[in-house]
Amino acid sequence: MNAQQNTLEIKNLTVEYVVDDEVVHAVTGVNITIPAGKTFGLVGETGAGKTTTALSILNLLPLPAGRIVSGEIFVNGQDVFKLSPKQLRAMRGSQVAMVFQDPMSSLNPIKTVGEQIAEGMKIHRGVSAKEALRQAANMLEMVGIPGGRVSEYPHQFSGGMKQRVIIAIALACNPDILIADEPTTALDVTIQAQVLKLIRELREKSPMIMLMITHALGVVAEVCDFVGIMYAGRIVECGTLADIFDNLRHPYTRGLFDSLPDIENRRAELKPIPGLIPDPMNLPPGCAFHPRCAYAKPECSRDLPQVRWLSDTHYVSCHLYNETVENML
Amino acid sequence: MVRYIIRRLFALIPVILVLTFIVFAILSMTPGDATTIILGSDYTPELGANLRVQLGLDRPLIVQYFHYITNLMRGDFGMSYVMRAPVLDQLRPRLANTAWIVGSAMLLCVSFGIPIGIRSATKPNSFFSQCTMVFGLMGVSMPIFWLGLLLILLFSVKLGWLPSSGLDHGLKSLILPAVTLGFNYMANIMRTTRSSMMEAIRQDFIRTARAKGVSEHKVIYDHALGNALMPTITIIGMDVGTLLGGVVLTETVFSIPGMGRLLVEAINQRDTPCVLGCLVVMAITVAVSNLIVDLIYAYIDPRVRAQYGAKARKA
Amino acid sequence: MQATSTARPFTTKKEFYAQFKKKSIAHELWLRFLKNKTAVMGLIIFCIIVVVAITAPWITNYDTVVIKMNIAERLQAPSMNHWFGTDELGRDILARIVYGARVSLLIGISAISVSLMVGLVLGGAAGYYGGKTDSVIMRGTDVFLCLPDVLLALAIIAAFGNTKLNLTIAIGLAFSPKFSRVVRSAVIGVRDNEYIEAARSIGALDKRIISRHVLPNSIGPIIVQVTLYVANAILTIAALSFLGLGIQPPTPEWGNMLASGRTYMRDFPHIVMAPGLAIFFTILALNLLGDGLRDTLDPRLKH
Repeated sequence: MNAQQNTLEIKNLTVEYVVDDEVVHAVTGVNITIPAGKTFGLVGETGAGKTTTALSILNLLPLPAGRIVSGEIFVNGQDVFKLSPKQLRAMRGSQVAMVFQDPMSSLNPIKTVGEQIAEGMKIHRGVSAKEALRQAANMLEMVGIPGGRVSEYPHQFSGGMKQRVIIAIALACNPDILIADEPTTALDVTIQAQVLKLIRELREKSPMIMLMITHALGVVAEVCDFVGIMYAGRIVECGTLADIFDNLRHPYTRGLFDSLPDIENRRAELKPIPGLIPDPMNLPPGCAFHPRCAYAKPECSRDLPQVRWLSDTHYVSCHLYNETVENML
Repeated sequence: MVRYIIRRLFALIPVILVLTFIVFAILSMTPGDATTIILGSDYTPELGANLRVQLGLDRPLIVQYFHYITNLMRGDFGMSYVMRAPVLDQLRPRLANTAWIVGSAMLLCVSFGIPIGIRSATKPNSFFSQCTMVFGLMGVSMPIFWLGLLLILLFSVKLGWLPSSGLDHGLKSLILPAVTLGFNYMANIMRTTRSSMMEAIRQDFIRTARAKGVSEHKVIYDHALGNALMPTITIIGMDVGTLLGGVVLTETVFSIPGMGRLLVEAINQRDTPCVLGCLVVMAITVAVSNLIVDLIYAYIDPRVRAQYGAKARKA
Repeated sequence: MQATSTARPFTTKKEFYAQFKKKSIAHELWLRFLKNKTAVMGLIIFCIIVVVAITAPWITNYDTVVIKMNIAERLQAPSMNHWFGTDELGRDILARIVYGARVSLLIGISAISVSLMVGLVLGGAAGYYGGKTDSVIMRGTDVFLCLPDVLLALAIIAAFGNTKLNLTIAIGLAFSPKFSRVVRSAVIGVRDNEYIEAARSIGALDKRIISRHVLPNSIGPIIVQVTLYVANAILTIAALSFLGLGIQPPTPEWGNMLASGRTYMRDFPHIVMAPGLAIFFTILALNLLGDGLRDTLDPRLKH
């Protein structure tokens, strides 16, 4: 695995779902670039389009509803959408691996965890079944589970361990790119901490790229180098960790940070963002956030805001910054 | 696992006992005197009374049942009222014929029904799938005794390809009865396989498998099928009872000398031991096939095994 | 900066509450049912059969047409006089089919009513009370399930003879174990819902809970099964009559019509067509209806 080659580039991705003649605009014009060894955090509320973006990288959208309307995704320089089915299968699991959101249902109940970890190795590395099982036991050890449990079934593991098994499956073939979709959301806080620690350790050991999807800013702070804030299918702000946490610009980003309770000031009122996520079948005209935005101007309900680069690494998509780069918030 | 099997075998015994008792009790309420049937034209009240005592028909029900069961365990099904010969002698040759028909019907249905069900689940909106659904619906609505008559009209009378009765022509004789008997059964298997496969394919772990790069073939025939098989096996096993009910009709339509026809004749002739014998054999067959289904469950699904065998460890 | 909102304000309290008022549930379900074309077809066919059965005496005369032998006209192929032809005793087959519908429907529906009553009591008790009651009842039905419907009915008929009443009871009892299971699982599905706990917490009596909360919500799967079992019952009656152990000639019943016609079918195939088609379409209609009801009532399909 050539560290220089290790890249993920999503260019202008637009995805929709067609259900019963109704069109759901899940993802619109998303651009993400991740260089080798870095972790990108994709942040947004449920329904913002994060999982759809992730599934598109593997070309695993649920058919027949899911449709890639336009855009390209380059994994290590290869255009994913132009791969033959055979090449696609070769890519999945070995170059790009995904950790899914719900550990409870993501494991096959009638196969041992060892078999499920070993499966990828047998396909991509051509190892014998016996050898694969042995390596599977090693993978379990790596994620903190005794290797002897390789012949046990998913129902014999708790939620946190199941998630670790899923991580082991994802890492089995040493992927260049790891996509983690809300890997800790379904877990208790203490287990969350363990899994995050594990992820951080793995990151330090290899030049693996990671796309971390989450709605929790705390998780982002722990593991990410870059952050992209997603709303209603578009990236509204994107930059390094410092850019977003210290120098945020978009009103929605402000809203996200404001809605975190302040542990220092327990008496302060909570500040949620008013309103609800828009219906993806019926997005508001102009900027999708304008109905909930405290800073909305007349043009926000008419025109889509353009992307404005504030520095080499930081861009924002908001009418507030059309003329000046001064912090308006 | 072995413990599970033994436990289930033991559980089978009371079920069979109660089952046979129920059938026994129902049939003992047959009005009319058994002795008149046995003696026929030789009947006199005296002979009748003597015979009653001889056969133990004056004893309480439980005692009669006890005798019946103990005899049964030695393979003695009692004496036929009409033939004046052991019921077992009548049952034995017929049992084989019935087994042939039921066996071939099952084989036919499983080997066609399951693959068709799987195929139509993988492409749910295709023409093939729609046809499968239509056939499935027709299949479960079709009265098999009518189907048998129609098949005879077409393949025997009109085309002359297949025999219309009896088992004298070897394999050719089996075709029409097997198809007739299996019609409802196969439709059921197809529908169930189709819907449980569709359900399995929707599951999250299928997405995990695809994300690993597993070939579509393995995803369907290994990951999905393994999980979808349970309801299908239930139908295959539990519906053996329906097959046995159907075999009575099939043997009548095709004039095959099997247990089904024996049952009907015995009922018409009020030959209670014979009726009892047939029903007992059928009931035991159903109970055993249910057991086999349960065992197959335990073999396939580790969660079922966990309840009865290996200790389940939760970390 | 003013926050803008795209929500339209309500001007009156009435408007506000109007957005919550739903059409009655039955109305909604009916509309949903209507979208299922095959189910509607099944309903129509079944209604036709029921209407035909009820109006039979006005369509044709029982004694002169259905029962009376007319050797001169025997075994005629379908014609303008006799739309389905005549049978081996010269009787008009169409008339016999019409009357046969009465018999099948009457016994089928009565039998399932018997099963329903037994099933509701046993299954309801097993499902609601659980524990010991449940185990006992379930073991009981387990045993009966080993004896398939036709055979159990056969046993009862063998013992008690095949009057119409016996047939009804025999078939009714034969389907009761299956019904108990259906009712039980429907009740269990509902019992553990939180609104039952809520009702109990305010002191409602068991009887009230069962009738007001449990039964109405579990009625869906039960209705579906009733429809499917009526189909099964009608099939069983026809099968038993075909074997000579059900309705006896000269009373017309689709099954026994097939049995008597069988001897002549080689040369006069028309004689086995109409009765068979009648059975087939009745069962098909009920199956379509049952499947349609199942799709309509399945909560998972609610958008």
